[in-house]
Amino acid sequence: MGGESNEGEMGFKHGDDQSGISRVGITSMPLYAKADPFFSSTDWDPVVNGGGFSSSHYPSMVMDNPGMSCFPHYQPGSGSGYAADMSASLLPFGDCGGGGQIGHFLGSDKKGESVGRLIRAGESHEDHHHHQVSDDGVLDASPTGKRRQPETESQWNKKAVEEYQEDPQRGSDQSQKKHKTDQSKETMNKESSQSEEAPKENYIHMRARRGQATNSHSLAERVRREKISERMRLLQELVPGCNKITGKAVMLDEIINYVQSLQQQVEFLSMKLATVNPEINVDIDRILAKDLLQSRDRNTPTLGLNPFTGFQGTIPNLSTTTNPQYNPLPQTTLESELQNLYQMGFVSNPSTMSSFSPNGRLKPEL
Amino acid sequence: MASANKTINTDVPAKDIFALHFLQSLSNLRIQNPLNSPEETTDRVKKIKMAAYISMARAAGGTNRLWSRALLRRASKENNKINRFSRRKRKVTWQISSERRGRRSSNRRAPVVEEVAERLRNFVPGGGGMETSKLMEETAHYIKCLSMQVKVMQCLVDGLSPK
Repeated sequence: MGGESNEGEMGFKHGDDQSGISRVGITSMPLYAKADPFFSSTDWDPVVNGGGFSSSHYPSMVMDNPGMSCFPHYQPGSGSGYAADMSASLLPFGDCGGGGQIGHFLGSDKKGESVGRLIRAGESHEDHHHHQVSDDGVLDASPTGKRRQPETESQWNKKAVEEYQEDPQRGSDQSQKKHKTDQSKETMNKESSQSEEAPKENYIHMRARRGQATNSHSLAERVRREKISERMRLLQELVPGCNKITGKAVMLDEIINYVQSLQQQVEFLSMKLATVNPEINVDIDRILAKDLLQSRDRNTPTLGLNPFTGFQGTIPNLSTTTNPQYNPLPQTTLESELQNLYQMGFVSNPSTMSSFSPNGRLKPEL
Repeated sequence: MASANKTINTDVPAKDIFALHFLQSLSNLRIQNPLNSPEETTDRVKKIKMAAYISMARAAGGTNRLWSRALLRRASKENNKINRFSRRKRKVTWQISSERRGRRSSNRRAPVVEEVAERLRNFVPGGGGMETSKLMEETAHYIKCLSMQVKVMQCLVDGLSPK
């Protein structure tokens, strides 16, 4: 039960990650589409913002889920796709801090630096303030990140639309426009940090509720341990006197002792059989010959079961050689189980009987 | 849980199957060895024990189980004693594998269970290369079959021993 639930949990997380990625893709793609025709006309940079958003988003997602195996498959393809798109759209606008934005694609930790470079291109005195704001955004994003995520996305969209509408007026005062874009970038950074924090918080929340490590190795280890304990319970039922024992090691010791004792019993019994065997060997040829002939005479219709009749004739007659009086089914010497065996073999097990054919080997000895 | 239960199947055939196989192998043993040649009892004991184990392995589903497969393989190896080199080689590989396993198990979190399971591997045929949970499963099946075989042999001894 635990194994299946764990795997289900893993699967759910994978699904969550993928949905998060696809959501990011959906929300950020239309912006590119909006911004792209715009870029071809003027040299303003909302796409840079978009690029900053998406590029800071992807590495953060990767950092959130280091152990997930399907994620790295997902990430490089989509991320490289975005990076290619963005670099293609950014290349003509390298003069407005594009180098810094390309730095975005290389790693998430360059976010603050590139932002600072962009501000330096515009109004350098806001540099310090900007860093503070972005740090604050990162800090207070975690408690309310999940709840605020949908509305931050809508805000982001709205803001991008606003910028898009504002843009024709941009040619009037460049410095104000730069300031505005910086402000929008601050908020965007804040929001992106919030939305990057959201799946992480979700993930941690799941783990806290379950109280289990979610590393794939520890998941596998837990599955293995549960398997072992399940089999241990199975063994506990088999081995007598193992029910009261608690502790796997002691129980395994008991199991080992039991197996050993059974093997010794087999050895002891085979020793006994070996001491019995010479008498059988002396008697058995004549008896086998006689009994096979007799049984053939008796059971002509069941000739296919001949090996078994040979067995049936053998052992009772063997006991008759030891016992003077003739007793076809000696209750005293053979246990009822063996008799059941013979009867069962006679009646209901022709298939297993037919697989037996010592008859052919016995014949030369007749 | 349902799938896990499906994997654990330690059903054992009925006792008469074991008895049939054992009787057959005993008679084969008798045929193979000439009757009037007085063998040593230790050799005979060994052969009967071998026959008991092999018949148990055959009755318990042939090669479906790992332990029965290992028993049958061991028996066939001992039957044709020409290839002693391969036997030695096999021993060497087993030692290597057990060393490797020991190193791996020392890293695990429950070293006590692994250590005891390591001892258990020596008693279950073919247990050397098994994973621990598989070893438990095979041990359960092996115990069932072994107790069945012991019962059958006890019946035979009781039935054949002169009064």
